[in-house]
Amino acid sequence: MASVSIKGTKNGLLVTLGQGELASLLAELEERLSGTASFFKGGQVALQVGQRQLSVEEIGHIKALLAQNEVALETVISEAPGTRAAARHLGLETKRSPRTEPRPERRAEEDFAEPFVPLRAGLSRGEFGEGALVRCTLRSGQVIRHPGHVVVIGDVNAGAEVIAGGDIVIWGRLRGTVHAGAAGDDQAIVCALDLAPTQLRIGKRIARPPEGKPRRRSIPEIAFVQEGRIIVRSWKASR
Amino acid sequence: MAAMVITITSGKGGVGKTTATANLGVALALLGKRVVVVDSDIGLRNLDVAMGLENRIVYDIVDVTEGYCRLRQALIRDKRVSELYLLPAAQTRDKTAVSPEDMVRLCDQMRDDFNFVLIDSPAGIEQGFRNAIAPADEVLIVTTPEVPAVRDADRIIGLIEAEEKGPASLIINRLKPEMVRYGNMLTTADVIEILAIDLIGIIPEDEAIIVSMNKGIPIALDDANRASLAFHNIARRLLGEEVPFLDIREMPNLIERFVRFIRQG
Amino acid sequence: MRILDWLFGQRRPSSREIAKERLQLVLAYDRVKISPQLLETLKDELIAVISRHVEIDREGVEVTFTRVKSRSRLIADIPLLGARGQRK
Repeated sequence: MASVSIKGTKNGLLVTLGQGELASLLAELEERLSGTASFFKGGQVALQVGQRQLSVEEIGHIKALLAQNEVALETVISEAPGTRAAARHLGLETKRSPRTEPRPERRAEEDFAEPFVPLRAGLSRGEFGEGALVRCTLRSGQVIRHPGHVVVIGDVNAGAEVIAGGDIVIWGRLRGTVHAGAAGDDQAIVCALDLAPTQLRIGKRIARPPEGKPRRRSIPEIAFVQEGRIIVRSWKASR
Repeated sequence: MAAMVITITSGKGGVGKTTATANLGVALALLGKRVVVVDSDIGLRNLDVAMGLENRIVYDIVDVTEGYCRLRQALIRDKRVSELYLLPAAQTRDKTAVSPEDMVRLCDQMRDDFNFVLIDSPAGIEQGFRNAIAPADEVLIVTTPEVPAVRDADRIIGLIEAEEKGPASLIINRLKPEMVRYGNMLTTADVIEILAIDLIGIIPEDEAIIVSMNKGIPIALDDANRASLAFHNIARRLLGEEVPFLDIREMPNLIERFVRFIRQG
Repeated sequence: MRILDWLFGQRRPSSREIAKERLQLVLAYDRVKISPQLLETLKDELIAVISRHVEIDREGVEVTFTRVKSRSRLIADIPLLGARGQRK
């Protein structure tokens, strides 16, 4: 099991250090970076370390290691105040980690008797296979389940469901229920030409459209998780 | 608390089972009872829409019977009325996903926590219907005063008697007083005479019901509506109260009486 | 004149009455599998048997089904014109 993960995000690379000894984690990181150096070259890095306490020296060491591989450490994301202070000392930006576990008392909506645990898709993280392309209108009662990304060219009507391990792209109207990142991946996104789902789920989050407000505009929109909440933005604004 | 399980069925589709279930659920909850309404129409669920809860569904009845989640996780609480819950049907499965035994087990699980379990049956007499009546302590049959609906109601009554379910009582829905007055619609008395079954309620035709369905706000939440009053009266009768039937004017008006008088003369 | 027809004229069966009659017929078949044809045959034979002994209004004979507390009944309504034996 990899305790170092490297992900591409909108703002550059996100490097997450998991459990384990720092030295071995750094060795692993170095190995992964050198293996794919040209791919990451010139990028900015956000380093996510969770609760881990890191000293100024240790952060400096990581920064140097990244610099050797021609990527620049910009931000340190941590829950530990000491680590954030050390990072600031080196002139780096700091952030707290977004919550990754749902708090039982504050779910997306209070009306579920118990917290939502995604388990229906029977998928595990990292199992993203190939994307699936669906070229038809999904009608009530129809369901698409796929471990990877799903692209629907057509409408998803109310009563239809799309459940994907990865992202969901609807080239049409989305009226039904979709679940992106169904294995619990909060990084997944949903976008649609007209995003008006009955219910929208990403990872462990659930959102419903606001009540009593009929939509007037229908513009392409994208939904994603930010700081533990599902946010919907117009496609234009999100770029 | 030992819940009474009541199945709402009809044989024919489109006569108002779902509307009746949603509104009786609301009415019983407003009378202070703990109520769960169960949609047993797997593959064609609609009770969620009637109650305006469709966008809150995460788990459904099939997830419960197949062990994907616990019963409590699948129950959706209605925010407008306290102690009213919905157990939604699965939309992406078919009737065979649940067996009559599953339904009995599921209802037994709920008996301790609720006063009433109302089951909205699918139309027809196939497995969906069998599932719906399997756990029933009482059956409410919904009909409209029309030939096909009454005929199907009769068939259902026969099946329920054969299964020794019941007692069954009748809800006559969508009665149009105007049409009855002019002799263009079966009267309540006609339907009762033909079906020979106890009457528990008469719901007058009301456009407000369509509006309420469109909005997902059961009419029983509106205390100034006649159809709503009719549902509240049924709820009270279910609790054992003696409530007189609404005066839905079936009596001829003065001119009509005059005409009849002359004709007989 | 139509108003007068309406006031004094022969009453035509209302759609309610038609509905009730059709229902009773259809249910008779549904409940005990007696078809309208069989009902007609029954009616004809009843008329034949009874009219051997008493004079009846053949046009007025009605054979219907009703149901009282889950039991089906066959009801024959046979208007008499007067017993033959008595006239002689």
